[in-house]
Amino acid sequence: MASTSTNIDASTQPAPAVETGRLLVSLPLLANGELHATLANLAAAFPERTILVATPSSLEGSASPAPDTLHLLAYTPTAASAISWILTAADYVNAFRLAEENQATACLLLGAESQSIAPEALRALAESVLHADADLAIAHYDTGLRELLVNSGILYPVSRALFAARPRFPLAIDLALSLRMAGKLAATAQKFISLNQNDALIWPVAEAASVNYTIAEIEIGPRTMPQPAASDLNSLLAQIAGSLFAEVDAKAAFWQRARGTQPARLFPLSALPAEAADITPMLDAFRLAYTNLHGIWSLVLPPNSLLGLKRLSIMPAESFHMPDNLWARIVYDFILAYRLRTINRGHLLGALTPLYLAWVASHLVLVRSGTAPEKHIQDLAAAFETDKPYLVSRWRWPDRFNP
Amino acid sequence: MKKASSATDPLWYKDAIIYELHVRAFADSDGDGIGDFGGLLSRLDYLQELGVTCIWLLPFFPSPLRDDGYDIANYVDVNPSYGTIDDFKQVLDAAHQRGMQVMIELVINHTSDQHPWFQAARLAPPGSAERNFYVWTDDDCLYKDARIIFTDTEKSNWTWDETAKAFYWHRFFSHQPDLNYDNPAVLEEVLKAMRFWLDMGVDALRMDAIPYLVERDGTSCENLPETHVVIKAIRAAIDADYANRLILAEANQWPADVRPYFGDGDECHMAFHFPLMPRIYMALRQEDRLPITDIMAQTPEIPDNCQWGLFLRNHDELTLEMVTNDERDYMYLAYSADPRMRINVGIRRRLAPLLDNNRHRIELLNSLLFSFPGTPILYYGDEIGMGDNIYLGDRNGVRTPMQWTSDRNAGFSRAVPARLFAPVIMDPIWGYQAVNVEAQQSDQSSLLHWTRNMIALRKLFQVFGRGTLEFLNPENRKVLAYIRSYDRGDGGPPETVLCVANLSRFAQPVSLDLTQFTGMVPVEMLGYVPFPSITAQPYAITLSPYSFLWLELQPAAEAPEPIAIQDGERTLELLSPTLDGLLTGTGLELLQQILPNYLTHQRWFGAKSRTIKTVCVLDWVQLPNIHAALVFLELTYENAAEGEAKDVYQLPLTISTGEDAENIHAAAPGSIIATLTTPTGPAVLHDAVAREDLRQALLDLIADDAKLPTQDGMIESRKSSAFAAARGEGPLPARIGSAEQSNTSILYDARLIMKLFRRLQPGENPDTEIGRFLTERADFPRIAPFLGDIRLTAENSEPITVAMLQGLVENEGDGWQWTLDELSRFYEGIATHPAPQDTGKQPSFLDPMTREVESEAHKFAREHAGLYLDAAALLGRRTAEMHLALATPTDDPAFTAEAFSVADLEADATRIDAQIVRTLDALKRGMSQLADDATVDSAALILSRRINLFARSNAITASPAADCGQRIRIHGDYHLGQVLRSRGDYVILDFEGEPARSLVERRAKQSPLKDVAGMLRSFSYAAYAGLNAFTQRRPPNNEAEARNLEAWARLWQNVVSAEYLRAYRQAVHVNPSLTPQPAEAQRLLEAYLLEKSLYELLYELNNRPAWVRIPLAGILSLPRELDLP
Repeated sequence: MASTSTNIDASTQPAPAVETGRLLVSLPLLANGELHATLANLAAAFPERTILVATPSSLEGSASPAPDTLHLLAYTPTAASAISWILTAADYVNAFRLAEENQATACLLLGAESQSIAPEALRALAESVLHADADLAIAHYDTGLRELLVNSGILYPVSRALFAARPRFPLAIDLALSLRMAGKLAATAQKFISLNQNDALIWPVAEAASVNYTIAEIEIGPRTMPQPAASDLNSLLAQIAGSLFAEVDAKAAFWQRARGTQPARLFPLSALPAEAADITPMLDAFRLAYTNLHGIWSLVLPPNSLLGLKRLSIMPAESFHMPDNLWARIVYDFILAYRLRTINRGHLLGALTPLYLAWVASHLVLVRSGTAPEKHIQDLAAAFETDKPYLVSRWRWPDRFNP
Repeated sequence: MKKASSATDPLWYKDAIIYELHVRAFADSDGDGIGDFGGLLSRLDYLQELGVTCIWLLPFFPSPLRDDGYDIANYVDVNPSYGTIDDFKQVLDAAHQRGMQVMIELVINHTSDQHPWFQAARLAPPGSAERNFYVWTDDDCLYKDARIIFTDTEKSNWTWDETAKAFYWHRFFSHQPDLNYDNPAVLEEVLKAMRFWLDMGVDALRMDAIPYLVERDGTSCENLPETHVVIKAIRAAIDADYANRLILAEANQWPADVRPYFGDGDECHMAFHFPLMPRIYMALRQEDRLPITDIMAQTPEIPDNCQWGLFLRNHDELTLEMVTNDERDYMYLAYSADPRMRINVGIRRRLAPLLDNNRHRIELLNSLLFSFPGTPILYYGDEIGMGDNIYLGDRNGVRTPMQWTSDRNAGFSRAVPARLFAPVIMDPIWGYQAVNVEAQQSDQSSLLHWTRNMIALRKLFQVFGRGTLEFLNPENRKVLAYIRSYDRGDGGPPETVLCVANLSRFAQPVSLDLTQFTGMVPVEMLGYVPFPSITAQPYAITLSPYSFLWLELQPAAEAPEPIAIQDGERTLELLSPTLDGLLTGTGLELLQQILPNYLTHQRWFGAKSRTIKTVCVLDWVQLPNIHAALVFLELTYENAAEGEAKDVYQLPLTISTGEDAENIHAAAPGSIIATLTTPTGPAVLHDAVAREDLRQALLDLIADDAKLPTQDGMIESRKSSAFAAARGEGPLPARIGSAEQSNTSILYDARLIMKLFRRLQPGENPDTEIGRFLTERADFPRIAPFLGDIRLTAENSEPITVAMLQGLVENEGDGWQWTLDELSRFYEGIATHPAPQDTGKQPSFLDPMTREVESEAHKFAREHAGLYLDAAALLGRRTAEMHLALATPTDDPAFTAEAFSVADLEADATRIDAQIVRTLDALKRGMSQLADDATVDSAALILSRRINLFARSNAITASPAADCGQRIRIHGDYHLGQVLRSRGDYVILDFEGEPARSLVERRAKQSPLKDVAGMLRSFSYAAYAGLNAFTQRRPPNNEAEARNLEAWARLWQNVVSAEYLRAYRQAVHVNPSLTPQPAEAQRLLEAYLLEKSLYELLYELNNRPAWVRIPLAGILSLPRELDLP
C-alpha cells in the first residue's frame, strides 16, 4: 500500500472549512468494493463529524457516491512500494503531508484490508487521539493461535521490555496519530526515503516512547489481516526482525534509560485448539540447524545458551520445551550481534530462523498441554523484562567471556 | 539560506568524541612513506568502530613543514604529499556517511615565511598593502612585554629580514611571521580561506594560537580586546552563512582568561581546558584529588552553547605553562626523569609512557577524561597505548607512524623503512610488534576494546557531555568523587551519575554523603549492576587500586500501573453486590490471573526474588455490612523444590466506585490491583485495608467475638478480658501505620493497634498466645496489652492467626535507639579521658548477688553513664518479672513450667553444636572478605578454638538436670529493639520468636537464661555500634586514642551487663526453682551466649561483614577455660 510521494488532487472536492479536532483518514490502495465498504464504515463511525479521507485509489467508475460527511481527497502515488501488507516509511510521510496540508489535527492511518475494521473500532482509535490526549493510538488485534507469532515471540516482548511500552502489536497497521506524532514519524521516515529506502519499516511505539508521547492501545476486535508478501520465513524474519534490531541499535540511549515493567495483561482463557499443529517440520529444521549452524551460533551465543540448545536438540517432540528466559537471551544476543556486526547481518538473521521455529514448536507444545496461548506470551514478555539487564550489561560490555 | 552541515544537532560537539590525527602519520596508501588521505580513507571504518564522532585533522596544507604543518604556505590547497583536494573531499564525504564530523585547522595567527603573502610583503615597500599583511618594525623593543613561547629556540619575538630591512613579529618560530589583524584586508583573506573549506562541508575549525592575533605595546600581547573583535567577526561570518558549524579555540591560558573566548556564546563554541590536563597527572602522582578540584573550582561557568575541550595528550608537549613554578618542578621530577623528555615548557611524552605503561592508570585517566564536563579529545595511538621516541627532535617523538599491525613499518606504509617520514617505534615494550591495532582487535581484553566500550557507554548518556558537575568531599583525599547531572527536558528523571575514582596505588575506603539522593539506587554503569540503595547514612564504597566507578543513580523501582479491565461483561460480574462475581467463575479466573503481578510489588510480599507461578484463592469470607472480603491466597513459585510448602497470603479485597475510587487513587494508589470501566464511571479493585469501613469492620469482628463461615472453614474472633477497658467508648478513626514491613499495622486513634498478618502460617501464633497468657492469666503489665485476635480455622488443619489486636503504648522510642543516644553522650563525655585502668569483667552467676563494694570500673561508669546503669538494672528486673509471669502456674500445657531433663540438656547441646559447625564453616569461607587484619586474627583465633567451643556446649550436659531450673515459654528473640522506653520504664514487645525458626521451635519451652543471654549480647552490640557511630563523627587521631575508646566501650558493656544481671538475679529469686543453681546457671548462660554470638556471626558474615568484629569479640570474651565448680 505504500507510495512515495503525494500529489494531492484537490479538485476532487472542495476542502471543507477547518473545524476543531479535524481528522484525516489515510487509506491504503483498495479495490473499488473494499474502498466503498471502508467509506461506509467510516461514515458509520463518524456520523456527526466531517472527516477528510485521503485515498490513492481511483474514484472513477464508482457506483455509489461517498457519504456526505466524508470529504474525499484522491492523490496519486508517484511510486508504488513493493510492500502492501504493512505500513512503510512512505505511508508515514504521505499521511503527515496530507494532514499538514489539510490542517488536520489528527490522522487515522489504516492498513490493507481496512474494510474489515468495524465502525466502533475506527471511532475508538480516532477518539483516543482527538479527545483522550493520546498521541498514538495503536490497534490491538484478536488473533488466532498460530497467527502473528513473529510478533508474539519477538516484536512484542522486545518492544515491551526495551521501550517499556505496553502495546501488544508494536507493528500494528491501524493507527491514530496526533499531528505531532505524525510529524515525528514522518521525520524518521523521511531519513529512509532520502536514502531511497521507501519500504523501510517505522516503529511507532518506539518513536512515541522515546519522546515520552502518550500511547493508547485500542481493542479493535476481529479484522482480516493482510498476508505478508514474503512467502518464506527467512525473508520475513530478515525484514521484520532486522528492522527491529536496527531500531534497537538506533535507540540504545533511550531504552537503556527506560525503566519499569508493564502491568499484567488480561487475556482470554482459551480452550485448547481444535486441531493440534504438526511441529515435526519445525523441530526437523531446528535439529538440522543445530548440526549445520552451530558454528555461527557459537559466535553469537554464550555457553549457557548453547548448552540450553544442546538439551533442546535431543528433547523429544512431545515434551519439547524452550524455557522463556533461554529464548529471551537468544533474541537479546542476536540483537547484540546485529549491533556488533559479529557476522554478516543477513547470515545472522538467517541463523535466527531455526531458533525461532524451535520457539514456535515449544509454544505450540505448551498450548497443547493446556496453557492459554496468551498466558505464555505474557510470561514470555515478563521474562524479556526480567532479562533486560542482561542485554544492557552485554551491550555495554560486550566481552565474549561471559556465562 | 544557510549551508547545512553534516550534523543536525546544533550542539553536536557537546556529545562528540573527537579524535586528533595527523594525515602524515596515520596511514600511507601510495607507498611513499608519508601518510595521505587515501590511507585515512581506508581507516575510517576503524575510527567509526572505535566510536569517534569527529576527526580533527592536523594541518595538511602546503607547507615547508618546519613546524609540523603549522607553517602554512597556502591556505586553500592540500599538501601534495597527502593527496589532492579531491582526495580530501572523498575523505570528508566518507566521514559524513559514517556519521562523523571533520574538523580542520585554521592557523590564522601566522603563516610560513614561504607563504606568497610574506614573500610579497618582504619585497613590498613599507606602508604598502602587501607589506601591511604582517607586523613590521624598525624597533625590536616594541611589544617587549610579550613573553617568548618557544624558549628553547627563540631569543626574541622579532627577527630581522634582510630583504625588507625591518624586523617582523612572530610569537612562535622565526619562520612563522604573524599576520597583521590591524589590516582589515588580512581578515578578509582569512575569511575567504575559511569559506573555501566550509563550503566544501567541513564541520569544524580549530583556531590555532588565537590569544596572539593582535599586538599592543605595553601589554603582554595576549587576550587583547581587539583580538576578541576579530574572533567575533569570524564567528559572525560563520553564523551568517553556515549551520551547525564549530570553532574550537586553542588558548593556552588560565580558565578565567579563556572564558572571554566564549564571549556571550558569540565567539568560540569550544576551548581547550589546558590547566586541567597537567593537574590530572599531578593528582595521580600525588594520590591527592586537590590539584583537580582546585583547578575546577577556578573554572568559570560558560554560556550554555559552549563547551570545554578535554584531553590527556595531544601532538604538542604536555604543556606546563599553566602551573606554578613548584608544580612545574614537581611535574618534571615526576614525569620526565630523562632531560630529553623535556621541551620548551613541558614534557614530550605520550600517555602510556607517562603512566609507566600501567593499564590501570591509563584506564583511570581515561575514565576522568570521559566523565568530566567537556568533550573528550583522543590523540591517535593512545587508544592502543602507543609509545614515543624521545630521541627524535622537537615534538616528533609523539608524532610517529600509527601502529596498525606487526608487519613491516607497523602496517603504516609499504615503503622501504628508510623512506618513512619518521621511524616507527621499535623497542621491545612499545614497538609495533607488541603494540598494534590488529593484535588488540583480536584481543578482547585489550586497551583498544576497553576504550571502544567506554566510548560507547559514554555516548549513551548525554549527561557526560552536557551535565552539571558537583564535587563530593569525602574525607579520604585519595578518592575523587563527583556527581554529574543533566535534565534532558523530556519529562523523564534527570540523568544523574556518581563518579568515584581512586587515585591511589592502594585500595581505598570512602564514605560519601549522598543524603540528597536518599532512596535512589546506584547502578554500576559498565555491568549494569545495582548497588545497595542510598540511605541517610554515609554511603561506603571500597575501591581497588586506581579503580573507578560510574554509578547511575536511578529512582527506586516504582510499582507498575494497575491493570485496566475494559471487558464490559466481566466488569459487571465483578461489581455484583456480594463479591461473588469477583471470587467465583470467570471473575475468579481473572483475579487469579492479575494477582501475581500485584503481589510482587507489595512491600509486605516476602518472596520478591522468586517468580510466582500460580495464585489460587484458597478461601474467602465476605465481611458483614460492607462490600469487602478477606481473601486467602495460595501461591506457588517457579523452580520450587520438590515438596516445598506453598505460601499462604491474606489480601482483603474490595471494589470502590465514584468518589471512593477517586479517593483511593489519590490516597493509596499502591493498593490498586486493577482499574475498571463501568457504565457509571471508573472503579478500582483494591486492597480493602485502604478503606476505613474495612478497618472498622475488623475491629468490630473482635469486639463482637464474631464467627463467620468461610467457604471451607470459619473465621473466629476473640477479644481478651482487657479489650473493653482499652477500647473505651466512642469512635476510633483508623489509619495504616507506616513502620511495618512484612505485615500491615492498623492504628485506631492513639489507643489500639491491629497487626494484620500478610503471610499466614498454620499453628498457634506465639505472639498472640503469649500476649493472651500474660494479659489474661498472669496479669503482667509490662507488655502492650493483648486485646484480641482473628483466626481462620478449618477441619483437620491447625488454626491460622489472621490478625492480632493490642493496646497502643505511649513511648519514647525503642530501647535500642535510646541506648545508642545514651551511648553517644557517654562517648562524648569520655572522649578526652585516658583509658580506664579497670574495665571490669563479664558478669557471672558466680558473683555475689549483692554488691558490697563498688569496683573501680563501676565508679568510672557511674560517673559517665550513671543514668543508664539504673536503666539496665530496671530492665533486668522487668526481664525477671516477665519470666516469673511466664512461669505462672497454669493448666494450659503450652505454658506449664517443666523441669529440665537430661534429654533437654542434650538437645540444647546438639543445637549449639550445629550452630558451631555452621558458623565456623562460614567463617572459614568468608575469611578473605574480612575487613582488616585485627578481624582476621580474631577469626583465626576462634577457628583455632573449635574444640574449646564444642567443649563449652557439651559442658551443659554434664550438669545435673535437677539443678538446671525450669523450662518455660520465653520471649525467644529478646534484645534492646524489643523493648520500648515508656515513662522511664520498659514495655516488652513482640513474642513471635526468631522469625527464621519454625513455629514448633518458637513455641518450645526453654531456659529463661536464653533471653538473658540475648539481652547481654544486645548490650555488647550497642556498645560497639555506638562506638562506630561516634568514631564516624569524630575519628580518633591515632591508634592510642582508638584503643582508649575501645577500653571505654568494654567498660560500659561489662558494667551495664553486670547491673542488668545482678538486678535480674535478685528479682527472679522469688521463684528459686525457676533458674538453675549458680554453677549450672553460669554454664548455661555461657553456652547460650556462645550460641547467640555464633548466630550473630553467621548473620553478619552473610549480610554486614563490617560488623563481624562485634560477635567475634563476644565469642572471644567468653572465658577460655571452663573454670566452674
